[in-house]
Parts: sequence; structure tokens; C-alpha cells
Amino acid sequence: MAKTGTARIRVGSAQKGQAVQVRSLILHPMETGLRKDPKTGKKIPAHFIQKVKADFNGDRVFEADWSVAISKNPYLSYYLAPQSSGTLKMTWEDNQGGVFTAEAEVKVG
Amino acid sequence: MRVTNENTGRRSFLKVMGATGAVVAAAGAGLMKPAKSLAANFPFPKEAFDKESLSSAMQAALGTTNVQEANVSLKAPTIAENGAVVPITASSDMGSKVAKFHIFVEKNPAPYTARFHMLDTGRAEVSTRIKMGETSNIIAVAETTDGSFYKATKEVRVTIGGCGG
Repeated sequence: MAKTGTARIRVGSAQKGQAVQVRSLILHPMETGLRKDPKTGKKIPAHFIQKVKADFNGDRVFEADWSVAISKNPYLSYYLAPQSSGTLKMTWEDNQGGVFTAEAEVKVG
Repeated sequence: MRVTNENTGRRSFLKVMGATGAVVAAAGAGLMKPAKSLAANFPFPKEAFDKESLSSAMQAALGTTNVQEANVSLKAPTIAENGAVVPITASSDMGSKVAKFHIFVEKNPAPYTARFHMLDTGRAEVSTRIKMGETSNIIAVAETTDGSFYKATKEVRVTIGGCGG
């Protein structure tokens, strides 16, 4: 079973000043808190990513607020318009204090 | 979509001011950044995410329920094979005027699903996958930098519900 918080970012090849697509995926149960454990009959506590942040060369370029209704192992795609090469860093924060990060180098040619 | 080249702006600003040192550089750095990414601080909208009807969720998230159907596109399957994983794409031709996208699923127990802050993204488009409990309208709302709202609505039919209740 692959580990919660494992994340991957893919960025297309970038031309200066042009929008390039960023695709991200993170492994996370995104548990709603509504589901019952079939064995015990007890409700499984909510465990979901609430905040996603994307910083490019230290500047916040994108941010998201998520409810429990985002799917398990959440996929997220947005765009970047880099003026220069640099590092895209993403941070995912969940409701149980989990903080997960991933980075990708973006080369502007 | 960033219009100015920050570094050139900062250098010429410093040159014109003829100033030395850290104080001007610090002020310059703050002034030259596009307004949208300056000290962005968006508290998690817990109250809005907890609302149980579409109208109360929209009122809490947007401050209004009266939103014009225009300028926004919403891509989603007409029939969802699996209500636990419904792919959606919200986009708009308003470009850098879009400050945020808000997503609502009308028939979900808590309709307000996500909020996306388009701070410096180069294109007003965002994609993700959502859970739907049953056949429902999905509503994508674009909030512009001047505080206007526009939406697109699409009904998605769900055969196997995805809220896991």
C-alpha cells in the first residue's frame, strides 16, 4: 500500500511568458467522516486535504481550499506563466496536521 | 497572467529614485509585485464548506445567490461511471480578470466543494476530480478581480454514488 502524502508534479515544456500546464497528484484517503467501518460499525474520522499551495521561485501563484468532496488521491491541474526558469513547490495540508510537499524544476526555453 | 517584468521594473525604479540601500529595495520589492500575489492569505472557508443547501452555501461562499450564467465553461461527463471520481474542468475566457473559481455540487450533503485562487496562473482554467452522491447539477462560479460573479451549470448523471455513506 503506497504511502499517504506521496506526491508528483508534472509540468509541460515552457516558453517564456506562455501558459504551461501543471498536473499534480497526491496519495491521500480524502476520508469524508461519513463512512462507517464495515467491521466495527463506527464512523471513520474525516481525514482530508484542506489547503493546497503552489509557489514558483518563492511567489505564491496558486492556492486551493478543498472540502471532503474532492476525490481520494486528489488530482489537480492548473497553469503557470513563468517569465524565467525556476522551481515550482507545492504544499498540501490536511485536517490532521499532515503537511506534504513536492517540487518540480521548470525550464523556460 | 503577469503583465509586467518585475525585475526590470524594480531596477529602473531604484535608478530613478537614486536611492541606496535596503529600505528602498524592500519597498520596491513590495510595490513591484502583482497585487494578486502580495501577501496572499486565504483562511479556510470552514463555515461555507459546512452549509447543507446550495443557496446557503453560495450565500456563505460568495455573499450572493444571484449569479449570471455567462463567461464560464464547465467540462464534466454527462454520465459519471463512478460518483466517487468525477473529473471536472472549470475555465473562463475572462483570463486574468478571474480571481477565483468556486465549485458547488447541488445535491451533495454539503454543496460547496472547492475554491481555487488564481493568483498568477497564466490561464483561467483548473481541473480536479470530485465526489458526487447522486445525479446533480455542478456549478462553477468565476469571481472576478472587481467582485463580479459568473457561472456555468452542468448536470451530471451518477449511477453509483460516491459519498460512501
